[in-house]
This record gives sequence, structure tokens and C-alpha cells, in this order.
Amino acid sequence: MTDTQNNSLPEDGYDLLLEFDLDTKVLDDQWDYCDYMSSYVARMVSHNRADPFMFSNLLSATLNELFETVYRTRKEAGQFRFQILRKGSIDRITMLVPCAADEQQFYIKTAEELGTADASEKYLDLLFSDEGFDRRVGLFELAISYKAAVSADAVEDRAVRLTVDLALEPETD
Amino acid sequence: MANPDSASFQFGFDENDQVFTLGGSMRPKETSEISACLESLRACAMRATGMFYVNVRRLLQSNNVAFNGMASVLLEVCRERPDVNITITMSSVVGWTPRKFRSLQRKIPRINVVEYDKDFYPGQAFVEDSSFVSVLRRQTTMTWRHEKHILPRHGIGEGMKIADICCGIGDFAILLFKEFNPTYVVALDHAKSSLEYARKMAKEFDVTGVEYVYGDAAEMLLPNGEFDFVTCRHSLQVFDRPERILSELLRICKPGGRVYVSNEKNSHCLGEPRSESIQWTYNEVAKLWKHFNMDIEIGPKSRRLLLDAGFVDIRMESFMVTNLDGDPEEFAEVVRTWRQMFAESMARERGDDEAFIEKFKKGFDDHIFAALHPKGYAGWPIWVASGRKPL
Repeated sequence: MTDTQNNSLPEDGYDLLLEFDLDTKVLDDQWDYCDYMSSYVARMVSHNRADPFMFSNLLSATLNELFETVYRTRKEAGQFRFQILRKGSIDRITMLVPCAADEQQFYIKTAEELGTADASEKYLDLLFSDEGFDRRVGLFELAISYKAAVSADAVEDRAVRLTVDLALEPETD
Repeated sequence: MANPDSASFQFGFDENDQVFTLGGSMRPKETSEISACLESLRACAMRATGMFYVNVRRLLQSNNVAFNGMASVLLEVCRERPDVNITITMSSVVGWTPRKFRSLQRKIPRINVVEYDKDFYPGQAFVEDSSFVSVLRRQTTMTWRHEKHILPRHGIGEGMKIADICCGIGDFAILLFKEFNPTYVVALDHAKSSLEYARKMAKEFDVTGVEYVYGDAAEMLLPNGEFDFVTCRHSLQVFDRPERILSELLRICKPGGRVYVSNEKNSHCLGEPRSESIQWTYNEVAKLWKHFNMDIEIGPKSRRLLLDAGFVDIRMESFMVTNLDGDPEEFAEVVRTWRQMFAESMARERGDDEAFIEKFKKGFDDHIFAALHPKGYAGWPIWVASGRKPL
């Protein structure tokens, strides 16, 4: 994990809280990193929320689903980039995942499905599926259970950029 | 601070109460990694009779793989054992659980999902009433005059990591922060209205070193052996099982660190003139609390409770908050709030008749009279005790 804060590009008035790059090979090999990274990042950026423990618990749950989704992606060689940014009550998570066109489409199509009228029903179907694990469930969970705004964009033909906006606690004055 | 979220998971079954308990963090890659746990859950549920409980109050994290595995087992049990009722007890403190387990309830309405800490503590509704905030603040002002001198005798020093458990409105944590210059203070409480007030107050006084967290004192998510000094004031008396709180205080305290508790013995409140009426009322207060399974007489029992919990080197003393400490009106105002809470809320809830309530109120009025009388004296005794966690 390397700190590349100097390369950060704050966007839309968001403050960058934490950023790192990781070789996709490391992420492919180390399932436990999903847990470690989500727990660590959640704790690091939660201290100034109203209830740091509650916030950290929720953020860790959401980050872990994202990291696990990325883990299960067929990735291309390169650098996975993670950023967490903040504007008021919104935490924005961005992930740049090096992958080929079919995997780009997985993210883009899933993000589109999240906006459909039956998304809640689909989420429950995925969550309680007895036909094996469906890797879309993590993104559905963020959108349905955590009311996150999830979007996915292709970055040329080499990566997908996933953006998740989360409001895990009410805005305080 | 160590992160409790990164702990691995544990599971176990209490045959006596038919409770299957899951704790820690379950984030497997494949369901097969938690097969022993799922098999055990299935076996225990299948041989249960009547009500089967699944306790996830300390399941800090679970990914969708684990959740799907658990849900599949419970679905199977519902199919095969229609005579067994399943209740999942979760904690509102563990943020992810209500969202996920409510989904399970939507899927299988037969599964009952309850937030365990909603109605757990007998006096919770009384002490979490937001109108109680003002009296808590005033009480802290009055007791702090004594405690700031007492605390060093119980081992508090500068540069410590401190936890204030059952922090109420958080003013004691701020006073600790200002007086003893700790490196870090975590203040935990189960009353959201109190915490909201605490955060506002910390912001107003520009105190940034106190972290206010929502939590259940009997099952805290704070890590083991983390704090040099742990305080828990006026709180063992509102729990029906104070030994459970003490075991948690012991757990989060560093070996060699100290846990400090303060409690009352309300029947020893006193005043002159009109001492007999005052005495009668406070004896009745003790009985009233007992009715709600709380022990407002616990103060002098602190030494035994600390020893039984496993502490050593117990230090204990008492002090009397009186009308002469500061403004007598301050003392009177606290008694007015007790009158309201004990006579108007608790006694009415117990079903006491008007004649009793009038007599009950009279003792509080006489205590106020004593406090404000130019030659009067009114007192409220507090017992403080601390114990060291063995190395």
C-alpha cells in the first residue's frame, strides 16, 4: 500500500481523506486484505464523525463489500487506486479497477440495474439466493440498504472507475 | 486504538436458554470457511423446542457470504421445523445489523428480529428521558467540587487513556479532559439524547479530545485492556445486573489500571429541619427503585462488587454533597427534579395512589425547604470506590 496523496485531485469541493494504490496482483492473492483495508480505512476517517464507532462500523461494512466485489473482478495487471473523499455528510469512495471490457460492462450494467423499479426485490433475491453467490449483491446492498449513489464509468478500455456516495449519518450543524 | 472490527469470529450455544451466539467479524471468501459454525447453528436449531434465539449482538461485521450462509440455515430450519420459533436479538449499537436482519425478517416474517438493548435496562425510560439532562448537568457540577480532589487518590494522572462509561451528557468527560490532561477520552452512553447534548457541548467548549460513542455498557465494543483509567458514575445503580457492567469495565481496563465507580445510598439523604419526613421519603425512594429492579442503595456495596468482579487494591471513600457547597438553589433544583422523576413518573408508573404520592412529594419539598432555610442543612451522600485490574 503506498500513499500517493501528492497525486490527488480533489473534485466537486470534496476533501481527500485518504488514498492509496495497490498492485492488482496483491489484491488478487490476498482475500484478507478486503477486511484489513475496510477496517483500517473506516477507523482512520471516522474519528471526527458524531459517533465514530457507529460510523466506522457502517463504513467498514460498506467498504468491505466494495473491496470484495473488486477482489472477485477479473483484473488486468496494473494499479488499483482507492480514494475516500468527504463533503459535509457525504463520503465519496472512488475505485479505479484495471480490467478488460467485459468486466467494465459488469460494473456499468450493475450500476444501471440499481436504478430500476424492482431493484429492492432484486437485492433480496440476491441476498437470499440459494443458487450460489452473486457478486452483484455488494453493489445492490450499498444502493438499497445504505441508499448510496453508485455509478460506474469505463476509463478507455483499460479500467473502470466506480464512484459511491454515502451518507451514513445525518448532517450535524 | 485497536480495531475491534478486525477480530475473528466466535460462536457457541447455551443449551439452557437455547441461545446460539455469534460474535466478532465474519468475512469469509467462501461459505465453506464457516461451515463448522453453520453446521452447529443448524444442529442446535433443529433440536430446539419452542423458541430458538440467535444472538448477534456482538457480531461486529459479517459479509454477504456469511450472511447468506446464516440465512440459508435459518430458512431451512423454518421449512423443516415449523414448530420452532426463531428470534434474532441484535444490538442497535452494531450499526450494520438492523439493516441486514430486517431484510431477513421481510423475507421470512416468521423470524422475529428484536433490538435487545431497546428495553433491556429497567430504568432506561426514566434515565434516558431528555428532561433528565438538566439534572444530570447540575449533579455533575455539585459532585465535581469533591471528585476533582478525590480522583487523584484513586490513581488518575496526566497523559492517561480514559474511558467514561455511562457518560450521560458527557460533562464529566469534559471536566476530566480539562483537569487531568489525558491523551484520549472515550465517553460512552446508551442515551442518544444525552450524547447529542454531549457533542454539542464539546463543540461549544472546543473540546476535541473526547470521543462520544453510542454503546451498551454491558456489551461494549471497546477493545480489551485499552484504558489506564475507567470511570462509571451513578450508573451501577440503574442496572439490574451491575456485575455485568463491572466485568466489562474490568475487560476494557489495562492490567494495572484502575476502575472508578461512584454510587448513592439514597436512604441516607438527610436534612434539617423536617428530618423525619425527609427520611421517610428517601426510604421510599429506595423501595421504589427496587420495584423497578434498580438498587439506589448500592453505594456502600461497591467494595464487595469490585472484589467479586476480580479487582484488587480497593480504595473507597464517601463524601456529602450539601446545600452549603455552593448555591443552595442548585441543591434545591436537583431535589425538584428528583421529586418530578420519582413521584410523578416512577411512583405513578408503579401504580401508587394519590395519598401516597402526596406524602412522598412532601419529603422532597421538605428537603428543598431544608436546603433553602437560612439555618438549614441538606445532604446527598455519595460513595466512590476504585479497584486495580490485576497484572
